[in-house]
Amino acid sequence: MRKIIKSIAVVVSVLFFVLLTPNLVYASDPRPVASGVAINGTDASITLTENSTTNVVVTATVTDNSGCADILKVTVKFYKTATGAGAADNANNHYTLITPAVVQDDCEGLVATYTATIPVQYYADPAEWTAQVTPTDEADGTVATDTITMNVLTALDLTGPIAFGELALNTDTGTTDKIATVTNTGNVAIGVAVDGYGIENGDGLAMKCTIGSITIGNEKYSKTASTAYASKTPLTDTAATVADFSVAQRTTTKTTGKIYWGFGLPLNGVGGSCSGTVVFTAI
Amino acid sequence: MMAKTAFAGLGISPAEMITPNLSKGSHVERTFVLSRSDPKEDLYFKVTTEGATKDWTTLDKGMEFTMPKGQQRFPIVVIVNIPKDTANGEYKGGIRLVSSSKSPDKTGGSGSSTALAALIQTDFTITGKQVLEYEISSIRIQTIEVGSPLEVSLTLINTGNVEARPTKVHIEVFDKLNEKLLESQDITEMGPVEPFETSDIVILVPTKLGIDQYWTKISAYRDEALLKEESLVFEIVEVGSLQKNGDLKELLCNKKAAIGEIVKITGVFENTGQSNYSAKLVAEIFKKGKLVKLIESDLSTLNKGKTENLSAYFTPEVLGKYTVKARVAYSGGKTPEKEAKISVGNVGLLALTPTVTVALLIFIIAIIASVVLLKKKRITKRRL
Repeated sequence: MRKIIKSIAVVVSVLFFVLLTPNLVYASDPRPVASGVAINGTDASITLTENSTTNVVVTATVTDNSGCADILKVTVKFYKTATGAGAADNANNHYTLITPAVVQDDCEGLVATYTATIPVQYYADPAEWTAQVTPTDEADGTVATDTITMNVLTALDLTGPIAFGELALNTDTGTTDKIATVTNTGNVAIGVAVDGYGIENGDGLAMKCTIGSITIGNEKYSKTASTAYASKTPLTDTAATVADFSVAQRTTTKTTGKIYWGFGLPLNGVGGSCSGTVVFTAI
Repeated sequence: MMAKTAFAGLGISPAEMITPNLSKGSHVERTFVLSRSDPKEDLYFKVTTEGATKDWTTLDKGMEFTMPKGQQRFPIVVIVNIPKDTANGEYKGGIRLVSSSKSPDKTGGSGSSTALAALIQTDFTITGKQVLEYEISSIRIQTIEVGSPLEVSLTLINTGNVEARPTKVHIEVFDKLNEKLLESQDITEMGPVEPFETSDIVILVPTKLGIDQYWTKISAYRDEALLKEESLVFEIVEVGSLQKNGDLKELLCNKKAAIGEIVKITGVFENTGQSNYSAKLVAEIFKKGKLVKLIESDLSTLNKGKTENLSAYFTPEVLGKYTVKARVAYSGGKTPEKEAKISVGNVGLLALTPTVTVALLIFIIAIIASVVLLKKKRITKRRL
């Protein structure tokens, strides 16, 4: 009788162990295996889109020796390699998609193919990235990976025109500024170079007026607000870097920087309306 | 008084072209993408090159081009030609793409409109040494029809200044449970990838395998070093199961050309079928409705899902307007025709045909003879 009770106790213990161990691998039920992971087909790198998302397509094959119908889900993690698969999702460096967002395209015999389309933000870090595919039936199977280079995107956006309004001859804007706000819409910190022209590039003018024109150096800028006109930096007709000015890469919220503009009119020789162009280059 | 408001932002990616290992006479092409999130209007670009690389860089789109309304991403190809007499060393420069809008918003007051520009920084190192430097970025195997050879594709990124190919590719094929080795081969003969190019090497491996699913392990080596290894699944299916389709998406060529100028006609073609195949661009050139020339591109191997430019070349010999009607012929099919127009004018001395050159020479000789005769007459008059 004791032997029977002992045997029952052993069987019950084993049953409990089996039932309460979710990731136990059954020898008779092979785990699914991922392979052939590809990021954007055979592309060697990813090029992002300014101030927008860019779809990155990850494809993979999953094989399950019990038949592809056994595959319950597929998880695709797309992350900056240096950040690692285990990190939390973050638009700068880590994205996760799980079935049904990871779509099964085909299932035949032992083999199924999957596609994950990941909208990657314009400020995703430029570096090597990895796509890791994990198939699951009753437990996680064998993962497969592929890597790709995320290219640098230098980009900027700008607020409206630099409107100075009306100004008398032989006067300037003093410490009053007209502000140009630069937004970083790429994935690296940017500096800015500026140049200008009146009618066409290289004409040495800041503005062309109804009567006469104004030389390029009369339009000035500073990275500091309320700088006196005389102390601001004159605009040039070849691109010059705005000294000590940079706009950081976006993380949570948009990043911006301000350039403060002033203007002076000569003693005589100009009249009427004046207009020109200032060119901003992200560097 | 008015000023334009700013348009949507502008980006360039990548933002630099750093190319070490260049040789004298090297030719390199690299694609960059201009992008903007809000493509509400046409954007006009003027391109200037600067620095020590100024004279070596051009763009496939020319030095002025338009990024059309509605297009968020606009690829441009930078073409680099290093002169043969360049000294070894490092050369830096840039390509500046300045945009402008033709439909400004108007505001009151005196001021400056704002325009955005993108800068591609260039950094080229020219060396007298031969550099073999490459990596294998991907390995793939296609589904094939029974009786066909296995189709293995390797994408090779050649960053050196000589042709590159793996020394050896080892292929093992296992049953569908990935347990039993069925076939094994070493491949040492394969096509190379040109310097500074990224391209696919397609290897065809004879097989006796029947219809089923299989595992394969493919290993690419440079000498004894393993460059990349992949375990992949593929399938062999019945003959006739794989569709072969293709799409000629665009036909590109310069709208204007000069007599004697070589015109590049490019078909942008996508293999939309289920297998790799060979394809070529076939173009008929018409003038006043009459066929004057038939041109073809080289035969290219196109992988499933891949888009490639197939180019053929035409040299007009007579002034006038030409119509190009082109299609792509591929295994088992051909695409519908696409059309393009070329207007040929007589521009520049280089565009002169032999006939025009002879006529010009006769004209110049006649003028010289007239001048000589006139002088002789004057001398004779003075003597008299």
